[in-house]
Amino acid sequence: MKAPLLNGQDGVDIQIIAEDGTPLNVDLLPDEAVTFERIDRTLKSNPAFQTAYPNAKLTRIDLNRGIQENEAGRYYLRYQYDSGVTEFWGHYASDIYVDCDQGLVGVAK
Amino acid sequence: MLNRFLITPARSAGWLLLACFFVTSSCLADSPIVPDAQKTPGDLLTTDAKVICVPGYTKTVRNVPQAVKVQAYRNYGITNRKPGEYEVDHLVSLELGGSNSIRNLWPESFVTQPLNAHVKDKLENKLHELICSGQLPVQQAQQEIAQDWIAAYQKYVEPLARKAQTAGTEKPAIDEQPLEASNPVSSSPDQPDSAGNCPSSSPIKVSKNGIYHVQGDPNYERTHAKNCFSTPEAAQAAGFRAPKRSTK
Repeated sequence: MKAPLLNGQDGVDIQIIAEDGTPLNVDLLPDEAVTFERIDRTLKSNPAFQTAYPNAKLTRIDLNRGIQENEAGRYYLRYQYDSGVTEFWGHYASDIYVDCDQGLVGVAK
Repeated sequence: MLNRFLITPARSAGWLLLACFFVTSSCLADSPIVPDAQKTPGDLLTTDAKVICVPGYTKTVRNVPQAVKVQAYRNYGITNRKPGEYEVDHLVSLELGGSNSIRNLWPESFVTQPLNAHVKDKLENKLHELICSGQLPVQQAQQEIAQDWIAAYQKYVEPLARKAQTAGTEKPAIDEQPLEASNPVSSSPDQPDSAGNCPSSSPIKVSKNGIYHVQGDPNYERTHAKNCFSTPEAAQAAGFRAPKRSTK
């Protein structure tokens, strides 16, 4: 299943996972898509991310609906970059942050 | 797009039941959780053997956040657990190119017998070795471990069960290779060397007082082993105990 255009990117695989862990064949809700876009923008505008993952392209997202939106893990993003693949987990946080060591990214609501 | 796998749960369950039949009469108490094909089909980060065969590759892959681990337990209905009873494991391990997506994670027991996370680790190491020595295509290894890791274990490591016990009656061995020969969960001890050190295949040291010590234990290095076991569970099964302040 492909995600809707996220920040103008197409071809992004998407998995929406229900609270019991089973896959759902549904579309992202509008606010969920907006959150993924915010996380993606936050990462791509971060200098450390740009340095560590040159030419990163979003290739896959998972939405784990069983995880609260303020917990790292609800929003999973995978990027292909020049020399490999990396994973990040996004969530809502009190302040925007990017932790490339842990693969965590927080966006403010 | 990277492959995703379809597991046949009936196949895994069948192997499990078969293993249980031959190993123990109290199977249900000893069964690990088999990954659910819907919840944990397996998921890949890479299919490039050159990537995963670089020494230290897995250290470049992230750790799974705690909230994701908690969700993995919830997905399988595990609400209570003892320390050291489970790990949230990757169905396709990181060393075989697996991802950290929750679709590649499930809670796997450390303590069930004969199948548990230690046993699966042995399979993962074997498959990695075969891939990196050019003897097995990475995608085949990924597919086989995702589809049925128990069958893959029997194919690449060793047959599972040799003895059947039903209603207290020991049945003849069914396979030619004895389980105890290399099974990591066997309770048969190995012998230490003359300095009291244990081999890397059986690193658990048992002291003359019948206390076993795991690597990392403060007394491990100075313990002069009388027996060696592959796992703490095996040492316990043989009647030895952990130190009272063990961090195991």
